[in-house]
Amino acid sequence: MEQNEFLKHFLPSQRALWAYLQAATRDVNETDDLLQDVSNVLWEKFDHYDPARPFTAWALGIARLQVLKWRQSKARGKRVLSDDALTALAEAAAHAVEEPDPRPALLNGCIQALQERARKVIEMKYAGGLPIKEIADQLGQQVGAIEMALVRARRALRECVERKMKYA
Amino acid sequence: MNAELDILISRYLDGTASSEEIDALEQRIGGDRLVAGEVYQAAYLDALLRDALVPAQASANDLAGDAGPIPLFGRTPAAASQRSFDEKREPDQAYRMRPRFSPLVRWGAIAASLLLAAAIVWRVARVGSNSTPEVAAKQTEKGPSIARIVEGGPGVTVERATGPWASNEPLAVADRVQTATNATAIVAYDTESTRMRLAPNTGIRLISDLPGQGKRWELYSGALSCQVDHQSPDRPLILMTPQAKATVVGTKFDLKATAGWTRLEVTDGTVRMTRLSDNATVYVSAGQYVEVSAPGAAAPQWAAAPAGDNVGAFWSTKIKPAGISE
Repeated sequence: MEQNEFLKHFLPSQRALWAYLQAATRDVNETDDLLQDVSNVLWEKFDHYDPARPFTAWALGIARLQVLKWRQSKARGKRVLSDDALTALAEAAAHAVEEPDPRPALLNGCIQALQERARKVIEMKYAGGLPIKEIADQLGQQVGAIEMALVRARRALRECVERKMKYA
Repeated sequence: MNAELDILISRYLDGTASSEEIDALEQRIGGDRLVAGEVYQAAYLDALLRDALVPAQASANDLAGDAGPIPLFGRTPAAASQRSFDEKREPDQAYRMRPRFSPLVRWGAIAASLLLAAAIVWRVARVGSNSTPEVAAKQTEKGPSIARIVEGGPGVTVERATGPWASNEPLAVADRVQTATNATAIVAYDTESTRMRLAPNTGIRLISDLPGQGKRWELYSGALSCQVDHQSPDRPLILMTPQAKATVVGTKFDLKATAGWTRLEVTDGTVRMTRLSDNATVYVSAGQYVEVSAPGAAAPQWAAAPAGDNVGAFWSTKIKPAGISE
Protein backbone atom coordinates (compact mmCIF):
# COMPACT_ATOMS: atom_id res chain seq x y z
CA MET A 1 0.00 0.00 0.00
CA GLU A 2 2.97 2.27 0.48
CA GLN A 3 3.29 2.69 -3.29
CA ASN A 4 -0.34 3.73 -3.61
CA GLU A 5 0.16 6.27 -0.87
CA PHE A 6 3.24 7.62 -2.63
CA LEU A 7 1.47 7.87 -5.97
CA LYS A 8 -1.52 9.55 -4.39
CA HIS A 9 0.80 12.38 -3.37
CA PHE A 10 3.32 12.31 -6.18
CA LEU A 11 1.11 12.30 -9.27
CA PRO A 12 -0.74 15.56 -8.53
CA SER A 13 2.56 17.30 -7.79
CA GLN A 14 4.36 16.26 -10.99
CA ARG A 15 3.38 19.27 -13.04
CA ALA A 16 4.51 21.69 -10.35
CA LEU A 17 7.80 19.84 -10.06
CA TRP A 18 8.27 19.86 -13.81
CA ALA A 19 7.53 23.59 -13.99
CA TYR A 20 10.02 24.34 -11.23
CA LEU A 21 12.72 22.21 -12.86
CA GLN A 22 12.01 23.81 -16.23
CA ALA A 23 12.32 27.27 -14.69
CA ALA A 24 15.69 26.23 -13.30
CA THR A 25 17.13 24.39 -16.31
CA ARG A 26 15.33 26.00 -19.30
CA ASP A 27 15.79 22.72 -21.15
CA VAL A 28 12.92 20.27 -21.65
CA ASN A 29 15.10 17.20 -21.84
CA GLU A 30 17.21 18.17 -18.83
CA THR A 31 13.93 18.80 -17.03
CA ASP A 32 12.55 15.37 -17.95
CA ASP A 33 15.74 13.68 -16.77
CA LEU A 34 15.86 15.70 -13.55
CA LEU A 35 12.24 14.84 -12.85
CA GLN A 36 13.20 11.19 -13.12
CA ASP A 37 15.99 11.71 -10.59
CA VAL A 38 13.70 13.67 -8.28
CA SER A 39 11.00 11.00 -8.40
CA ASN A 40 13.61 8.37 -7.48
CA VAL A 41 14.79 10.41 -4.50
CA LEU A 42 11.24 11.14 -3.39
CA TRP A 43 10.44 7.45 -3.45
CA GLU A 44 13.61 6.58 -1.55
CA LYS A 45 12.90 9.22 1.08
CA PHE A 46 9.16 8.74 1.25
CA ASP A 47 9.49 7.01 4.63
CA HIS A 48 10.68 10.37 6.00
CA TYR A 49 7.79 12.38 4.60
CA ASP A 50 5.56 13.93 7.25
CA PRO A 51 1.96 13.62 6.00
CA ALA A 52 1.02 16.66 8.08
CA ARG A 53 3.02 18.81 5.67
CA PRO A 54 2.05 19.59 2.08
CA PHE A 55 3.68 16.97 -0.15
CA THR A 56 4.43 19.37 -3.01
CA ALA A 57 6.34 21.75 -0.77
CA TRP A 58 8.40 18.83 0.55
CA ALA A 59 8.97 17.55 -2.97
CA LEU A 60 9.99 21.01 -4.21
CA GLY A 61 12.58 21.21 -1.43
CA ILE A 62 14.11 17.96 -2.66
CA ALA A 63 13.86 19.13 -6.27
CA ARG A 64 15.80 22.28 -5.33
CA LEU A 65 18.62 20.16 -3.92
CA GLN A 66 18.65 18.04 -7.09
CA VAL A 67 18.90 21.20 -9.17
CA LEU A 68 21.90 22.33 -7.13
CA LYS A 69 23.57 18.95 -7.71
CA TRP A 70 22.76 19.16 -11.41
CA ARG A 71 24.28 22.61 -11.57
CA GLN A 72 27.53 21.34 -10.10
CA SER A 73 27.85 18.51 -12.58
CA LYS A 74 25.99 18.91 -15.87
CA ALA A 75 25.39 22.59 -16.05
CA ARG A 76 29.00 23.72 -16.09
CA GLY A 77 29.31 26.62 -18.44
CA LYS A 78 25.58 27.18 -18.51
CA ARG A 79 24.21 30.23 -16.74
CA VAL A 80 21.98 29.00 -13.93
CA LEU A 81 20.13 31.09 -11.36
CA SER A 82 21.68 31.65 -7.94
CA ASP A 83 20.74 29.60 -4.86
CA ASP A 84 18.61 32.48 -3.59
CA ALA A 85 16.71 32.77 -6.84
CA LEU A 86 16.18 28.99 -7.02
CA THR A 87 14.89 29.03 -3.44
CA ALA A 88 12.54 31.90 -4.26
CA LEU A 89 11.24 29.96 -7.25
CA ALA A 90 10.66 26.85 -5.11
CA GLU A 91 8.77 28.93 -2.55
CA ALA A 92 6.70 30.57 -5.27
CA ALA A 93 5.89 27.15 -6.71
CA ALA A 94 4.84 25.79 -3.32
CA HIS A 95 2.49 28.73 -2.83
CA ALA A 96 1.03 28.48 -6.30
CA VAL A 97 -0.07 24.85 -6.10
CA GLU A 98 -3.78 24.37 -6.61
CA GLU A 99 -5.30 20.95 -6.14
CA PRO A 100 -7.29 20.05 -8.05
CA ASP A 101 -6.03 22.35 -10.76
CA PRO A 102 -8.81 23.43 -13.16
CA ARG A 103 -6.44 24.96 -15.70
CA PRO A 104 -5.65 21.89 -17.84
CA ALA A 105 -9.34 21.44 -18.62
CA LEU A 106 -9.69 25.08 -19.63
CA LEU A 107 -6.56 25.46 -21.69
CA ASN A 108 -7.67 23.57 -24.82
CA GLY A 109 -10.54 25.95 -25.45
CA CYS A 110 -8.18 28.88 -25.04
CA ILE A 111 -5.70 27.40 -27.52
CA GLN A 112 -8.48 27.04 -30.07
CA ALA A 113 -9.50 30.65 -29.44
CA LEU A 114 -6.06 31.96 -30.40
CA GLN A 115 -5.64 33.68 -33.73
CA GLU A 116 -4.43 31.29 -36.42
CA ARG A 117 -0.88 32.61 -36.59
CA ALA A 118 -0.46 32.58 -32.82
CA ARG A 119 -1.84 29.06 -32.63
CA LYS A 120 0.53 27.88 -35.34
CA VAL A 121 3.56 29.31 -33.51
CA ILE A 122 2.42 27.73 -30.23
CA GLU A 123 1.90 24.36 -31.92
CA MET A 124 5.29 24.48 -33.61
CA LYS A 125 6.93 25.36 -30.30
CA TYR A 126 5.20 22.82 -28.07
CA ALA A 127 3.80 20.06 -30.30
CA GLY A 128 6.70 20.21 -32.71
CA GLY A 129 9.33 20.96 -30.09
CA LEU A 130 11.01 23.39 -32.47
CA PRO A 131 13.50 25.99 -31.29
CA ILE A 132 12.55 29.58 -31.99
CA LYS A 133 15.13 30.01 -34.71
CA GLU A 134 13.76 27.02 -36.61
CA ILE A 135 10.21 28.32 -36.28
CA ALA A 136 11.41 31.64 -37.66
CA ASP A 137 13.19 29.91 -40.56
CA GLN A 138 10.18 27.77 -41.42
CA LEU A 139 7.78 30.70 -41.33
CA GLY A 140 10.21 33.05 -43.07
CA GLN A 141 10.20 35.55 -40.22
CA GLN A 142 12.69 37.19 -37.91
CA VAL A 143 13.54 35.50 -34.60
CA GLY A 144 12.41 38.61 -32.75
CA ALA A 145 8.99 38.45 -34.39
CA ILE A 146 8.52 34.84 -33.30
CA GLU A 147 9.66 35.69 -29.75
CA MET A 148 7.07 38.43 -29.58
CA ALA A 149 4.39 36.19 -31.08
CA LEU A 150 5.10 33.63 -28.34
CA VAL A 151 5.04 36.28 -25.61
CA ARG A 152 1.65 37.55 -26.81
CA ALA A 153 0.20 34.08 -27.31
CA ARG A 154 1.23 32.93 -23.83
CA ARG A 155 -0.12 36.12 -22.31
CA ALA A 156 -3.41 35.63 -24.15
CA LEU A 157 -3.60 32.03 -22.96
CA ARG A 158 -2.98 32.97 -19.32
CA GLU A 159 -5.58 35.69 -19.44
CA CYS A 160 -8.07 33.41 -21.15
CA VAL A 161 -7.61 30.65 -18.56
CA GLU A 162 -7.84 33.11 -15.67
CA ARG A 163 -11.00 34.60 -17.16
CA LYS A 164 -12.58 31.18 -17.53
CA MET A 165 -11.62 30.27 -13.96
CA LYS A 166 -13.27 33.41 -12.72
CA TYR A 167 -16.56 32.64 -14.39
CA ALA A 168 -16.47 28.86 -14.11
CA MET B 1 2.79 42.11 -15.07
CA ASN B 2 4.50 44.66 -17.27
CA ALA B 3 5.37 43.88 -20.86
CA GLU B 4 9.11 44.21 -20.35
CA LEU B 5 9.12 41.60 -17.58
CA ASP B 6 6.88 39.40 -19.70
CA ILE B 7 9.42 39.47 -22.51
CA LEU B 8 12.34 38.92 -20.14
CA ILE B 9 10.72 35.83 -18.62
CA SER B 10 9.82 34.44 -22.03
CA ARG B 11 13.34 34.93 -23.31
CA TYR B 12 14.73 33.33 -20.15
CA LEU B 13 12.52 30.23 -20.44
CA ASP B 14 13.02 29.93 -24.19
CA GLY B 15 16.78 29.95 -23.71
CA THR B 16 17.34 33.08 -25.79
CA ALA B 17 18.15 35.49 -22.94
CA SER B 18 21.65 36.93 -22.75
CA SER B 19 23.79 36.66 -19.59
CA GLU B 20 22.96 40.28 -18.79
CA GLU B 21 19.24 39.59 -19.10
CA ILE B 22 19.53 36.55 -16.83
CA ASP B 23 21.44 38.67 -14.30
CA ALA B 24 18.67 41.25 -14.44
CA LEU B 25 15.97 38.63 -13.97
CA GLU B 26 17.86 37.05 -11.09
CA GLN B 27 18.06 40.42 -9.35
CA ARG B 28 14.38 41.00 -9.81
CA ILE B 29 13.52 37.54 -8.47
CA GLY B 30 15.64 38.27 -5.38
CA GLY B 31 14.11 41.70 -4.90
CA ASP B 32 10.48 40.87 -5.48
CA ARG B 33 8.93 37.51 -4.65
CA LEU B 34 6.09 38.26 -7.05
CA VAL B 35 8.57 38.06 -9.91
CA ALA B 36 9.56 34.55 -8.78
CA GLY B 37 5.88 33.69 -8.91
CA GLU B 38 5.60 35.04 -12.45
CA VAL B 39 8.59 32.97 -13.62
CA TYR B 40 7.10 29.87 -12.07
CA GLN B 41 3.66 30.54 -13.59
CA ALA B 42 5.23 30.97 -17.02
CA ALA B 43 7.05 27.64 -16.64
CA TYR B 44 3.83 26.07 -15.42
CA LEU B 45 2.09 27.27 -18.57
CA ASP B 46 4.86 25.54 -20.55
CA ALA B 47 3.97 22.33 -18.72
CA LEU B 48 0.27 22.77 -19.45
CA LEU B 49 0.93 23.46 -23.12
CA ARG B 50 3.10 20.39 -23.47
CA ASP B 51 0.40 18.40 -21.78
CA ALA B 52 -2.30 19.80 -24.04
CA LEU B 53 -0.53 19.70 -27.37
CA VAL B 54 1.76 16.68 -27.44
CA PRO B 55 -0.95 14.11 -26.70
CA ALA B 56 -3.34 15.78 -29.12
CA GLN B 57 -0.85 15.31 -31.92
CA ALA B 58 0.03 11.78 -30.93
CA SER B 59 -3.56 10.64 -30.91
CA ALA B 60 -4.56 12.51 -34.03
CA ASN B 61 -3.65 9.61 -36.25
CA ASP B 62 -5.54 7.18 -34.10
CA LEU B 63 -3.69 4.42 -35.85
CA ALA B 64 -4.48 1.59 -33.55
CA GLY B 65 -8.09 2.48 -33.31
CA ASP B 66 -7.89 2.64 -29.54
CA ALA B 67 -5.48 5.50 -29.16
CA GLY B 68 -6.48 7.84 -26.39
CA PRO B 69 -4.74 10.96 -25.20
CA ILE B 70 -1.26 10.23 -24.00
CA PRO B 71 -0.66 12.16 -20.81
CA LEU B 72 2.25 14.49 -20.17
CA PHE B 73 5.18 12.62 -18.67
CA GLY B 74 3.50 9.44 -19.88
CA ARG B 75 1.72 8.88 -16.60
CA THR B 76 -1.82 8.54 -15.52
CA PRO B 77 -2.77 7.80 -11.96
CA ALA B 78 -4.41 4.58 -13.09
CA ALA B 79 -1.38 3.52 -15.06
CA ALA B 80 1.02 4.35 -12.34
CA SER B 81 -0.99 2.75 -9.60
CA GLN B 82 -0.67 -0.57 -11.38
CA ARG B 83 3.09 -0.51 -11.11
CA SER B 84 4.89 -2.68 -8.68
CA PHE B 85 7.19 -0.79 -6.40
CA ASP B 86 8.91 -3.89 -5.15
CA GLU B 87 11.97 -2.41 -6.82
CA LYS B 88 12.45 -0.26 -3.76
CA ARG B 89 13.42 -3.30 -1.79
CA GLU B 90 15.09 -5.26 -4.56
CA PRO B 91 18.80 -5.23 -5.21
CA ASP B 92 19.89 -3.49 -8.34
CA GLN B 93 19.86 -6.68 -10.38
CA ALA B 94 19.49 -5.25 -13.82
CA TYR B 95 22.29 -2.82 -13.23
CA ARG B 96 24.65 -5.49 -12.04
CA MET B 97 23.96 -7.56 -15.14
CA ARG B 98 25.91 -5.08 -17.24
CA PRO B 99 29.69 -4.99 -17.44
CA ARG B 100 31.18 -1.59 -16.69
CA PHE B 101 33.69 -0.01 -18.98
CA SER B 102 35.97 2.81 -18.03
CA PRO B 103 35.02 6.20 -19.45
CA LEU B 104 38.27 6.24 -21.43
CA VAL B 105 37.49 2.94 -23.16
CA ARG B 106 33.92 3.99 -23.78
CA TRP B 107 34.80 7.37 -25.22
CA GLY B 108 37.55 5.77 -27.30
CA ALA B 109 35.10 3.31 -28.77
CA ILE B 110 32.60 6.04 -29.46
CA ALA B 111 35.20 8.23 -31.12
CA ALA B 112 36.36 5.34 -33.32
CA SER B 113 32.78 4.55 -34.24
CA LEU B 114 32.10 8.14 -35.16
CA LEU B 115 35.16 8.23 -37.39
CA LEU B 116 33.96 5.11 -39.14
CA ALA B 117 30.44 6.47 -39.39
CA ALA B 118 31.69 9.74 -40.83
CA ALA B 119 33.35 7.79 -43.65
CA ILE B 120 30.04 6.32 -44.81
CA VAL B 121 28.31 8.10 -47.65
CA TRP B 122 24.86 7.07 -48.61
CA ARG B 123 23.57 7.19 -52.13
CA VAL B 124 19.96 8.09 -52.26
CA ALA B 125 17.78 7.87 -55.33
CA ARG B 126 15.05 10.38 -55.85
CA VAL B 127 11.83 9.16 -57.36
CA GLY B 128 8.26 9.87 -56.56
CA SER B 129 5.80 12.59 -55.81
CA ASN B 130 5.20 14.88 -52.87
CA SER B 131 3.16 12.46 -50.88
CA THR B 132 4.52 9.12 -52.07
CA PRO B 133 8.26 8.67 -51.66
CA GLU B 134 9.86 6.04 -53.85
CA VAL B 135 13.30 4.65 -53.32
CA ALA B 136 15.57 7.63 -52.98
CA ALA B 137 19.22 7.94 -53.82
CA LYS B 138 21.18 11.10 -53.36
CA GLN B 139 24.79 11.73 -52.59
CA THR B 140 24.97 13.46 -49.26
CA GLU B 141 27.72 15.53 -47.82
CA LYS B 142 29.55 14.85 -44.60
CA GLY B 143 28.19 16.84 -41.69
CA PRO B 144 25.50 16.56 -39.08
CA SER B 145 23.67 13.31 -39.68
CA ILE B 146 20.19 13.88 -41.03
CA ALA B 147 17.38 11.41 -41.51
CA ARG B 148 15.83 10.56 -44.86
CA ILE B 149 13.45 7.99 -46.23
CA VAL B 150 15.75 5.82 -48.33
CA GLU B 151 13.21 3.15 -49.15
CA GLY B 152 9.50 3.55 -49.47
CA GLY B 153 6.62 3.36 -51.85
CA PRO B 154 3.17 4.64 -52.66
CA GLY B 155 1.89 3.62 -49.26
CA VAL B 156 4.35 5.82 -47.38
CA THR B 157 3.36 9.37 -46.54
CA VAL B 158 5.06 12.20 -44.75
CA GLU B 159 2.95 14.76 -42.96
CA ARG B 160 4.66 18.11 -42.42
CA ALA B 161 2.93 20.77 -40.39
CA THR B 162 4.55 23.66 -42.19
CA GLY B 163 3.74 22.62 -45.74
CA PRO B 164 4.19 19.90 -48.35
CA TRP B 165 7.14 17.57 -48.14
CA ALA B 166 9.15 16.68 -51.25
CA SER B 167 10.35 13.10 -51.52
CA ASN B 168 14.05 13.96 -51.60
CA GLU B 169 13.93 16.26 -48.60
CA PRO B 170 15.49 15.33 -45.26
CA LEU B 171 13.04 14.66 -42.47
CA ALA B 172 12.61 17.59 -40.10
CA VAL B 173 11.49 17.92 -36.52
CA ALA B 174 7.73 17.31 -36.18
CA ASP B 175 7.50 15.37 -39.47
CA ARG B 176 5.35 12.26 -39.29
CA VAL B 177 6.11 9.21 -41.41
CA GLN B 178 3.26 6.75 -41.89
CA THR B 179 3.14 3.42 -43.68
CA ALA B 180 -0.10 2.00 -45.03
CA THR B 181 -1.33 -1.55 -44.51
CA ASN B 182 0.63 -2.89 -47.47
CA ALA B 183 3.73 -0.69 -47.27
CA THR B 184 7.07 -0.56 -45.49
CA ALA B 185 9.71 2.14 -45.33
CA ILE B 186 13.30 2.57 -44.25
CA VAL B 187 14.50 5.74 -42.57
CA ALA B 188 18.27 6.11 -42.52
CA TYR B 189 20.78 8.65 -41.29
CA ASP B 190 23.17 10.14 -43.82
CA THR B 191 26.50 9.84 -42.08
CA GLU B 192 25.98 6.70 -40.07
CA SER B 193 24.71 3.21 -40.77
CA THR B 194 21.65 3.63 -38.55
CA ARG B 195 18.48 2.36 -40.20
CA MET B 196 14.92 2.09 -38.95
CA ARG B 197 12.57 -0.17 -40.88
CA LEU B 198 8.89 0.69 -40.49
CA ALA B 199 6.54 -2.26 -40.73
CA PRO B 200 3.12 -1.87 -42.40
CA ASN B 201 0.69 0.30 -40.42
CA THR B 202 3.43 2.09 -38.54
CA GLY B 203 3.68 5.76 -37.61
CA ILE B 204 6.70 7.63 -36.30
CA ARG B 205 7.41 11.29 -35.61
CA LEU B 206 10.72 13.11 -35.18
CA ILE B 207 10.39 14.90 -31.84
CA SER B 208 13.75 16.65 -31.64
CA ASP B 209 17.22 16.47 -33.06
CA LEU B 210 19.65 18.71 -31.28
CA PRO B 211 23.10 18.12 -29.81
CA GLY B 212 22.68 17.30 -26.14
CA GLN B 213 19.10 16.14 -26.61
CA GLY B 214 19.51 13.17 -28.88
CA LYS B 215 17.68 12.06 -31.97
CA ARG B 216 14.25 11.61 -30.42
CA TRP B 217 11.57 9.74 -32.32
CA GLU B 218 8.11 8.83 -31.24
CA LEU B 219 6.70 5.47 -32.34
CA TYR B 220 3.02 6.00 -31.79
CA SER B 221 1.84 2.78 -33.35
CA GLY B 222 3.20 -0.16 -35.30
CA ALA B 223 6.59 -1.81 -35.34
CA LEU B 224 10.15 -0.73 -36.01
CA SER B 225 13.19 -2.88 -36.71
CA CYS B 226 16.30 -0.91 -36.01
CA GLN B 227 19.97 -1.30 -36.70
CA VAL B 228 21.71 1.48 -34.86
CA ASP B 229 25.28 2.60 -35.32
CA HIS B 230 27.27 3.57 -32.25
CA GLN B 231 25.89 6.91 -31.16
CA SER B 232 27.53 10.04 -29.87
CA PRO B 233 26.89 10.33 -26.11
CA ASP B 234 25.36 13.77 -26.58
CA ARG B 235 23.15 12.64 -29.45
CA PRO B 236 21.91 9.10 -28.79
CA LEU B 237 18.93 7.65 -30.62
CA ILE B 238 15.92 7.80 -28.30
CA LEU B 239 12.66 6.13 -29.23
CA MET B 240 9.54 7.07 -27.31
CA THR B 241 6.31 5.08 -27.22
CA PRO B 242 3.18 5.88 -25.23
CA GLN B 243 4.49 3.71 -22.41
CA ALA B 244 8.26 3.72 -22.62
CA LYS B 245 11.50 5.30 -23.73
CA ALA B 246 14.34 3.32 -25.32
CA THR B 247 17.77 4.94 -25.28
CA VAL B 248 20.11 3.40 -27.78
CA VAL B 249 23.84 3.74 -28.13
CA GLY B 250 24.42 1.14 -30.85
CA THR B 251 22.59 -2.12 -31.38
CA LYS B 252 19.97 -4.09 -33.32
CA PHE B 253 16.48 -4.40 -31.96
CA ASP B 254 12.77 -4.49 -32.72
CA LEU B 255 10.39 -2.05 -31.08
CA LYS B 256 6.64 -2.48 -31.40
CA ALA B 257 3.90 -0.31 -29.96
CA THR B 258 0.19 0.21 -29.87
CA ALA B 259 -1.53 2.89 -27.84
CA GLY B 260 -1.51 0.53 -24.83
CA TRP B 261 1.38 -1.87 -25.31
CA THR B 262 5.10 -1.67 -26.06
CA ARG B 263 7.52 -4.51 -26.69
CA LEU B 264 11.30 -4.25 -27.11
CA GLU B 265 13.32 -7.20 -28.40
CA VAL B 266 17.09 -6.79 -28.61
CA THR B 267 19.14 -8.77 -31.11
CA ASP B 268 22.55 -7.27 -30.51
CA GLY B 269 23.98 -4.86 -27.93
CA THR B 270 22.05 -3.27 -25.09
CA VAL B 271 19.15 -0.84 -24.92
CA ARG B 272 18.13 1.10 -21.84
CA MET B 273 14.36 1.07 -21.51
CA THR B 274 12.51 3.52 -19.28
CA ARG B 275 8.93 2.87 -18.23
CA LEU B 276 7.26 6.27 -18.39
CA SER B 277 4.60 5.57 -15.76
CA ASP B 278 7.15 5.45 -12.94
CA ASN B 279 10.50 6.09 -14.62
CA ALA B 280 11.70 2.61 -13.70
CA THR B 281 14.55 1.47 -15.93
CA VAL B 282 15.84 -1.83 -17.22
CA TYR B 283 18.69 -2.76 -19.53
CA VAL B 284 17.71 -5.16 -22.27
CA SER B 285 20.52 -7.12 -23.90
CA ALA B 286 20.84 -9.43 -26.89
CA GLY B 287 18.35 -12.28 -26.73
CA GLN B 288 16.16 -10.51 -24.20
CA TYR B 289 12.89 -8.65 -24.41
CA VAL B 290 10.65 -6.55 -22.19
CA GLU B 291 7.08 -5.33 -22.44
CA VAL B 292 5.23 -2.35 -21.00
CA SER B 293 1.47 -2.09 -21.03
CA ALA B 294 -1.17 0.33 -19.87
CA PRO B 295 -3.78 -0.92 -17.41
CA GLY B 296 -6.53 -2.85 -19.11
CA ALA B 297 -4.82 -2.72 -22.51
CA ALA B 298 -5.57 -5.70 -24.72
CA ALA B 299 -2.43 -7.65 -25.58
CA PRO B 300 -1.57 -7.44 -29.28
CA GLN B 301 -0.88 -10.65 -31.15
CA TRP B 302 2.83 -10.06 -30.99
CA ALA B 303 2.90 -9.63 -27.19
CA ALA B 304 4.91 -12.10 -25.08
CA ALA B 305 5.97 -14.19 -28.06
CA PRO B 306 8.20 -17.03 -26.86
CA ALA B 307 11.48 -15.62 -28.09
CA GLY B 308 14.28 -14.62 -25.74
CA ASP B 309 14.28 -14.00 -22.02
CA ASN B 310 11.81 -11.60 -20.47
CA VAL B 311 13.68 -9.13 -18.26
CA GLY B 312 10.44 -7.62 -16.98
CA ALA B 313 11.30 -8.74 -13.44
CA PHE B 314 14.27 -6.40 -13.32
CA TRP B 315 12.67 -2.98 -13.58
CA SER B 316 14.35 -0.70 -11.10
CA THR B 317 13.75 2.85 -10.03
CA LYS B 318 17.21 3.00 -8.52
CA ILE B 319 19.29 2.27 -11.57
CA LYS B 320 21.71 4.99 -12.38
CA PRO B 321 22.71 5.09 -16.02
CA ALA B 322 26.10 3.62 -16.67
CA GLY B 323 27.77 3.80 -20.00
CA ILE B 324 24.95 5.81 -21.48
CA SER B 325 24.82 9.53 -21.56
CA GLU B 326 21.43 10.88 -22.21
